[in-house]
Amino acid sequence: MAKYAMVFDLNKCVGCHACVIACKAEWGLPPNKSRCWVKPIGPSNTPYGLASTFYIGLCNHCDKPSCIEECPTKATYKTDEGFVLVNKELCIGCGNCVLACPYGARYINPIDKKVDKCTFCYERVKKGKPPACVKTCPTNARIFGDLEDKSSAVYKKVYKEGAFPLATEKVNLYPNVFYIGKKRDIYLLSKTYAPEKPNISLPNQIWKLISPLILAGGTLSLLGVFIAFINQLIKGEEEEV
Amino acid sequence: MTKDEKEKLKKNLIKKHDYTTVWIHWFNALVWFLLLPTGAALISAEKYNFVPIGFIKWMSSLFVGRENLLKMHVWIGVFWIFIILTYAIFGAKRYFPIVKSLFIIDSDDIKWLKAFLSKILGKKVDMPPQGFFNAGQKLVAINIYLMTPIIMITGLIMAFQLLPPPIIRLSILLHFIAVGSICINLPIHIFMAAFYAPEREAFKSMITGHLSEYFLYKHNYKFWKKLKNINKSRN
Repeated sequence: MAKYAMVFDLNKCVGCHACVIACKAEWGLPPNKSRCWVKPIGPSNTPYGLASTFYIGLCNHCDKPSCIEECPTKATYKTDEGFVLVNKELCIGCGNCVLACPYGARYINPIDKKVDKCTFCYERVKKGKPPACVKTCPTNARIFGDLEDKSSAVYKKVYKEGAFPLATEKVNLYPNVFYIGKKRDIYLLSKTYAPEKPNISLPNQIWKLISPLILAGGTLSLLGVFIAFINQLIKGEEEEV
Repeated sequence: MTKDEKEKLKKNLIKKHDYTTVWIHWFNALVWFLLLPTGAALISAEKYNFVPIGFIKWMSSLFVGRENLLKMHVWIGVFWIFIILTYAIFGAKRYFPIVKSLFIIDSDDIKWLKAFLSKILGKKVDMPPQGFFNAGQKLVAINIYLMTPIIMITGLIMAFQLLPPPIIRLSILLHFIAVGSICINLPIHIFMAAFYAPEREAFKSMITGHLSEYFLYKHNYKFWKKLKNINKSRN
């Protein structure tokens, strides 16, 4: 089974935003919303020297996605090939997944009021085409492919050249997006955009506390009714009329 | 009361519920029967679900996919809201005094609740006199009347994304709490109405709309007395 991943070569990215525009055009996204981004970082001093690079971001299609855990209707799901997708028919636009994503890769589409995010261009990939951003990138800074395929470019970048995911010891959702570049750039990127602990919305936290109480109430109620019913069986029915 | 008087009261049927009330009650029951399992199966995230995964899968296959399950839940809900609102708006003048009386809990009601607990456990107790509704019916009805608007409003917000995401998140929780609190009452309501022998006539009245005068005399004495006084003043 294929397992798709993307690698960003920070040495090659020139911050032209062609990928962002290609994505918006491919998926007809609203003007002020985007499934991917390129943000300049620096120039800043690092232990490895002065660094200036880009934070190229999108959904990391994590192996342990916090967004899936927090989606009440399971509108967000992961395919066997590693794509994290959203079933818009099941999405109720609550945004629990938006809060839970430590990469800020999700947003509520103002047009359909449902959640939207990068799909790694699932539909294109299924047709054998590369994602729109990968195809458009003029410097080939984006590399997409199958991590299980030892001959693929992503496999080489991740397992032989040491591309690393944006994760920390505290927050590691096993992302499938990796970065490769100069030490100083990697250092600056990891320092500036280290993922933060997934947010769990207050209503979801309360739900966890309240649902056992409601279940206990229901059980007690059923138990009471059962005792009363047994009592009636033993003592016989007393119709007053 | 002599045996003859008792028999006379038993034969004399009094209308307690009009047919609209009877129909709306059973419509409500049918809708709950459909909405409860479909709604429970929609909360399918392992972290938050409260019904077994097997049930969720079974419901999904029954409706050929969770998308259809959601659509069914939403559109049955919308139809329910439409019917209940029609009933509430056009019947407001007629039913408001009855609904208002539900929210008035007097000292007899408190005594009745205490006595009822002993009675259901098999003790012989005298039940305090009650009005049009007994205290148990009042408590269930208060719960339903308070929670139903919450269920309807939060349901619409979630189904059609009517408000921003933070309100949708809150709506999920409120919808769950409101439905949950009614569900706690539901087994008691069903048992009392359908299985508890002394109340069996009240169950029949939710079909025919009528109760014997004797039942009212025994269970709703204050209401019976009021009826008597009205009749006396008429005569």
